Amino acid sequence: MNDQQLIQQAKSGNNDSFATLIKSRGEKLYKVAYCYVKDEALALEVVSEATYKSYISLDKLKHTEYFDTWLVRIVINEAIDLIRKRKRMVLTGEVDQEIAAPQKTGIEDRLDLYEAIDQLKEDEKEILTLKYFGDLTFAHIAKQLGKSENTIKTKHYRALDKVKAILEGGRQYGIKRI
Amino acid sequence: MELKEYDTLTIPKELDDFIDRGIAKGVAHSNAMPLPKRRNPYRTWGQAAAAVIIGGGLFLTVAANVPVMAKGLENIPVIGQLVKVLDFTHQQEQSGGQVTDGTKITVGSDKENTIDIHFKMNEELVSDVPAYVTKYEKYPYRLTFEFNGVREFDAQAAAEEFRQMPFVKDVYRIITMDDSAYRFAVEFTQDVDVSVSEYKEPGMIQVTAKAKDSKEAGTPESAYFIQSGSYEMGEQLAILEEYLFSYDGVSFQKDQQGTYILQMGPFTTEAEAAKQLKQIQAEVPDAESFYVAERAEGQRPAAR
Repeated sequence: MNDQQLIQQAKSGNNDSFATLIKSRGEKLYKVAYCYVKDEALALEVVSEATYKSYISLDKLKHTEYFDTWLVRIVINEAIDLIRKRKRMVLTGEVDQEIAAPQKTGIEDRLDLYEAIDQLKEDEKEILTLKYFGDLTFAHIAKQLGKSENTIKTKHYRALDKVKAILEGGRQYGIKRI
Repeated sequence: MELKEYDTLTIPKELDDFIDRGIAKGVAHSNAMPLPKRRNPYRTWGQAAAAVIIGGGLFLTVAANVPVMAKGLENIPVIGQLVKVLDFTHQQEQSGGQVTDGTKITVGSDKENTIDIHFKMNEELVSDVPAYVTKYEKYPYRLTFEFNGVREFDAQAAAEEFRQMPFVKDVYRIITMDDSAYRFAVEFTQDVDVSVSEYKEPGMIQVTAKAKDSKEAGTPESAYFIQSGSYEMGEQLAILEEYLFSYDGVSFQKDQQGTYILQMGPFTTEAEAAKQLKQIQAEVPDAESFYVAERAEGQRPAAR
């Protein structure tokens, strides 16, 4: 059964089809989430909440060919919202110890791809995240961000150059650690 | 260059469990009873407000106008509905709400100086306010809202409601490239005491505007802004905003001719604004025509 059939079934209320759709994309959704929150536990929470939000709003999705674009957008919104809430908690002094200090679970001192992407401007970060972790086409990214495909391509290659420079230049770029 | 070569992120084995958890929550949500339809939600809120006034002795009104109390009230439910009262005395920009998608904004009023913003899905009031950011500014005096996860908004009807409030000079939509977000601005004729309260079950934003106590009103000060030329509200402006995504203090403003500009500021000194302008012009496409302008408090920018 192809994705479009699964989406139609899921829209009709078939939970198994919905689970199949989400789980087949679980890895990339997790990576998109991680790209923003930089923490395994938080990224899992983001995926879980995004799954919930997409489940309850699937019937609003009119253009099912944009299912992936729509889904990745929900994950990004959820991640940004979580970051915003955590900032707010810190500002009001109500720091929850469990989530106040993200723990890096990878090799501690390694300058990784996710940190490199984090140094980009927000729009560049979003384009790279959608392209490489969301597996979206330039056309779909352009539609989602409301820009021309050429603009997206230009920004994409500029962002890619920056990431390359950061990864190859390492610490001389003054990368901030969490 | 292939980014995936650099991607060594390990996928947690619990990932599927978290997805199942999200689906289970969605199923539970769908099975839950919808919120009861209200024949007249504003009358109900009026009754609730009356109950608070009788039982709490104008607690809400007082809390909304005393910063310390408002801060203490945040996240403490009052009659199970008030989530928080936002105070703009020390912080221009505030945010709140929950991430949702597919809601519709409706606006109504049952009191002269109060506007209620409700949110519906499938014609049912939803339990939480969608994620929002709200800001009160003084150049000119205006309150802006951005609601995320919203797909429908009758801006004209909302504008008509807001115009019933005292001191409201203009209400207008602000374009966004995000098709799941809506932004709008309410401009006032004078500096006002604005109170924004967030409620849940059902989700509601209540906006109250009152004349500022003359003792509280400071001396109006002019400030400096980086301004773009004038445009009709449309894609060209939105693209400019995207270019300036990484800068703080960027906003759209209606100018004196009724067209719109993009601005950055306020800056305290002209030198500070000029320095920032230089940096922007070096980094941002289409910023050659940006310029620095001084503006008095409460004034719209000049058109150019």
